[in-house]
Amino acid sequence: MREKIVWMEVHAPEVIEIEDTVKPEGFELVRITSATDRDEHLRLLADAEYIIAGGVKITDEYMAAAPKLKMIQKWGVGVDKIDCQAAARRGIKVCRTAGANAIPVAEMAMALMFAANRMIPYVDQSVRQGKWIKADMRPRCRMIHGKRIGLLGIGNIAREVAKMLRGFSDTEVVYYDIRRISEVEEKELDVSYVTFEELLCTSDILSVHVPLLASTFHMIGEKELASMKKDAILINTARGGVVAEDALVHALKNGIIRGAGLDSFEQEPLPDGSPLRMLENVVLSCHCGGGVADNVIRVTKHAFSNIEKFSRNESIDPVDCITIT
Amino acid sequence: MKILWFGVFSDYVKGLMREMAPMGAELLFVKSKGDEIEHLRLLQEAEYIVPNGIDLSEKYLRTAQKTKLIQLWGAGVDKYNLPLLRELNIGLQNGVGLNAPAVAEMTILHILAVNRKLIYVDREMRKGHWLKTEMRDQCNSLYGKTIGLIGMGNIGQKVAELMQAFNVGEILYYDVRRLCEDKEKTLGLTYSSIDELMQVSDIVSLHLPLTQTTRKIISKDRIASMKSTAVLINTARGGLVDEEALIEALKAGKFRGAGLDTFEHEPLSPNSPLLSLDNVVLTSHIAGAVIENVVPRIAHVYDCIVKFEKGVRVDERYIVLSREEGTL
Repeated sequence: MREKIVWMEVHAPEVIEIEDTVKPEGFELVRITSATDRDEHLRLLADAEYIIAGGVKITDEYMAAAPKLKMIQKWGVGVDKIDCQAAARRGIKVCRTAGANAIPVAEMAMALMFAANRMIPYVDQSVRQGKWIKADMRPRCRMIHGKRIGLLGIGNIAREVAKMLRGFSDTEVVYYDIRRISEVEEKELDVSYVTFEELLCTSDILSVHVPLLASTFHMIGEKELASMKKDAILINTARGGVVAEDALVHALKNGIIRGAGLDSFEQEPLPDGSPLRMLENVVLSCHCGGGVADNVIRVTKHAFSNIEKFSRNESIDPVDCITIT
Repeated sequence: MKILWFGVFSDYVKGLMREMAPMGAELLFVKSKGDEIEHLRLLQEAEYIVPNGIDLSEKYLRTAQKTKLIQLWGAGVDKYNLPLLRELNIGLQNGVGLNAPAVAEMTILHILAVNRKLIYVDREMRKGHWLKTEMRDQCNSLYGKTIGLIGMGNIGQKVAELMQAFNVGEILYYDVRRLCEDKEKTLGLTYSSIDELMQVSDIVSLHLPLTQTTRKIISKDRIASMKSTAVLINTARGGLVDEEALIEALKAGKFRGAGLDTFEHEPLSPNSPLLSLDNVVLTSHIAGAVIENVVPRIAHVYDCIVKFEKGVRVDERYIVLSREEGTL
């Protein structure tokens, strides 16, 4: 009897084609066709042993509807959309693909740093409107060379960002995390540890790389934004909830900070009425930090491999396993 | 000594130009880019001209009878008619290398932005479209990719230095002058022919000056030889590329996209077909236009002018055309 995997995210046909090339033997794989069709979700889950989770919330109700469910495997790293408490209570294992997205997300963080620093969407739009702006941009644009880059969090993604910044010979990279990494690692990455306060007050670019937890919710709020440099920019490729979005909008509108590059938002998709859509000093992208074609195979293989290991009773890399205490 | 800043600058930048001006300098500024009468009046007075964004036509140069030196704050001298300057006995000096870090950053920005269709995504989001699922198939990372740099001067070298940190595969380069082996090794570069580079690179980026021999070096045939997944970046000069062929290729989806800071004709025409393409990122020749770059460049310009005035030679690399002494 083949075990059943339900892939709880809608992917483009071209991407599914790539994913299917590494589908494991001996499993039945079905996919949802709509992100919002609850009836379809519940129907598919009824006899599922495994879930591959993405953007669709995996609630206690969904788990209850899947009596055979053994494991939820996140296609990616953030498990904030999975009710991990409920899973623990029901004895369902939750895993992720730690590190698999790190390079594309780090590249997105770099892209947003550059783009916000140079106000590129605004410039591109002006050119498309037949305007040739140059003199007015010079005082508003900045370089990365010679700046202090602050990383909030030093997990896999932040480490990749630190590595990418090494090419900028005169750029200083500092970080804050609840867990300080070893001196050897710090040296290898060429980063130094600072307090959260110092990170906020001294960084020219502040890039968020912490998971969304109760303890990190609105970690960057009105007070924190006010303590940042007036010329600073904020980059968020992690989770929208880490930043208090209302306070950020206020700070961007009132010149409390210079700009922002955002790949994640408190509410996704970004609501139609969001004031962020009207601001010149932000760069917006649709939570697609990890979304590149050439990384699909890597993440998919990683996810499938965890499911196969679980099915064969083999141990899964502990960094992939979510434990609830 | 009258120095004409021949371009339109923001008040902030003009303030810096005044603050930093050498003793005894009288600064002249133009008010408008298009007011020929004003331009001619100022050119008549100027002993030194620092051009930025307004072409010095033959008429303008012949009017500038007191001018001894044109001092650029950038590197490109493609707009200057050297025989005419020689005839008029006007020297020409530039600021080669000063722009390199800023332009290299803009190059990396264009690479990342085109690779992720960042500007298209931003534009669609502002219209209320959340494109997540459909974007994955159209976006790529730099991991393991072959980078092709055409031209290996100050900017090309800086780009190579930055690219090395992005997990890329081979970095190929072509230049008429090959670097020494040591330099190739430090920058992680492999020398290639231009044709091979065009055919195998995932990212092709231009860092050449515009000269008679480099005009349209990225020809229709070379564009056609690119990989269908490739990206073309031009932060150098628009004239290097056959723009018509580029537009055709982009429209037909022959390769993935382009990041352009320079164009055949600038300002870019409001009717250019480029304006309606989703697979391009367009910027208004602003690669060097960052605030950090302003002070060093003003300092360089004034330093060169003061030295010239005193008859002290500047570093050889900044001299494009010397002025015959004792003739004025």
